[in-house]
Amino acid sequence: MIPPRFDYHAPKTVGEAVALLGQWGSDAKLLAGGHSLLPMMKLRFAQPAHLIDINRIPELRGIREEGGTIVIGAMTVENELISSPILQAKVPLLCEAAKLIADPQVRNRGTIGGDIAHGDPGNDHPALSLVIEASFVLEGPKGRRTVAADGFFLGTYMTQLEENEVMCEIRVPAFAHGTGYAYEKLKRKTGDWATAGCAVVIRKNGDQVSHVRIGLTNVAPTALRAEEAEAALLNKPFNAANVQAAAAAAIAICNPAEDLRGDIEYKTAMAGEMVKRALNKAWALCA
Amino acid sequence: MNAPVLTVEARELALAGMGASRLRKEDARFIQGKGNYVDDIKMPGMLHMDIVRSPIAHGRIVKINKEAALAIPGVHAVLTADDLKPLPPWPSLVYTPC
Amino acid sequence: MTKKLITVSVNGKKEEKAVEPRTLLIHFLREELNLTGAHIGCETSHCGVCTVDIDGQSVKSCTHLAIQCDGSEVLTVEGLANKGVLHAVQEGFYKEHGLQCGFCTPGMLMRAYRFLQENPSPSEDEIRHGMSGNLCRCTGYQNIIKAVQYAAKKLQEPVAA
Repeated sequence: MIPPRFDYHAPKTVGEAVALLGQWGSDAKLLAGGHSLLPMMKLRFAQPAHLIDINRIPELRGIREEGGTIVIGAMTVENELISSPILQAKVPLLCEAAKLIADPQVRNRGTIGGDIAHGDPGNDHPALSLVIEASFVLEGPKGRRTVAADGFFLGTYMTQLEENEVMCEIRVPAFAHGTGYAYEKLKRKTGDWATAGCAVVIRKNGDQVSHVRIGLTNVAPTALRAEEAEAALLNKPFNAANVQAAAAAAIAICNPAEDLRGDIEYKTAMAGEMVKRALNKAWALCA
Repeated sequence: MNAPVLTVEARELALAGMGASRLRKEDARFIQGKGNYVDDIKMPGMLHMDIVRSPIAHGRIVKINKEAALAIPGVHAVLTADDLKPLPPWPSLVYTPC
Repeated sequence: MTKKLITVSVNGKKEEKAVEPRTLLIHFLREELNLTGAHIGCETSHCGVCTVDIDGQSVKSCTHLAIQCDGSEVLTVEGLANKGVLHAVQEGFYKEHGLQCGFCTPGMLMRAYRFLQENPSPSEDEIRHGMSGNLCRCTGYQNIIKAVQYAAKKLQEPVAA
């Protein structure tokens, strides 16, 4: 349970990190919180010859507000998300959801950027990013580009982040007043990945749903945006029948892998249950 | 006749320690990180051992390939059943013919 | 893949050592510094028996490289007592039987130590969540909760001059 040998680099700027990625290519991996990568290296599932530690790059940290957009440094750890006054006020879903990720120690190291960039279908932030309509600022040798969360996740451990790029920021529009939100994550125990998870952001106009986004965690090779489920509710009254229709539509796109958390039938059914719970919980917060 | 009602103190005295709450002697080491568990033991010339188990049940071992492991610097030995053959039979609860 | 020199303050003492980049902090503490209080348990970053305090945060030292601690301050269970006087969390675990085999205890103590600084007057529910990164196979957690409550109460008491 000891990682294989590697060369270690600790750049002080994003530019340095990008240069190192360019120099070492597929022989290099970025070290963020390390709580996905180091366990893999201890099991020798990952054996990078070069580790680029980005923990000493100040510009990757911090949460700030730019007009109506909240800008979260990619190296912001989960505990910082939970305690951020800006997020509690403007994107409270992230604070609530981060409490369901891992445990207190791991939350001191695990980062939102790492959670997203790793491309693990079990991670929570991808589905959350889809429903909060986040976009990611990536820096490579040619400079920075911004990519929407929708479409960023391509497959298991595959995202639009290029090998020579560093994720720098997660940009999120501040929640409109009256936005309801929820993240329902079924797990066997604290610290486990989701058996099935559902993230919801919803707004109302009277009794009708004026805006809804539904994201699913760990029921497919990537996080899923349940667009058909959203369509079952958008501009319609929020009632049990429509919630049921949304859950059914979400179930229809589930394609989970069978593992010790459950077989395909169970996980799919649980996804439907999480959809219902998340929708009801989010709606109750709507103003 | 009813038994006399004892005070708590008198009752504890009468029990002479039975049922009394006791603090543990061993805690002093454990709460200071001086537990001396097996992995904490360091002896001069000590080697470390790991056990490689079959990845399948009811398999038939056809061959054990020691060469790659023995080639790694620091590996002193790779022991298999063959190395146990010269030893006298081990006492065990169930007789297992070698 | 040569060794690199790191400077780490461990329990208040400055240590200058050459480490391979791949050396995990838990191995550095146990093998290099002979501080065997922190233990190796699950190897999957779940159990928390390896928990130490790095720059004021609870961290699982099995999932952290020693080289990442260059310039940092690390506190282990061996550094909790102050000149022979047990820390309140240590006293709490002793008085409330928060341990049986003791294997999880250093990790529990280090996490409880930091948790009570984050939340000096926790509810029982907050203790359960705050300590959720540490597993115990012996006690069933009930007395661990009581131990943390004991320590919280003791830490709130005014210190004798």
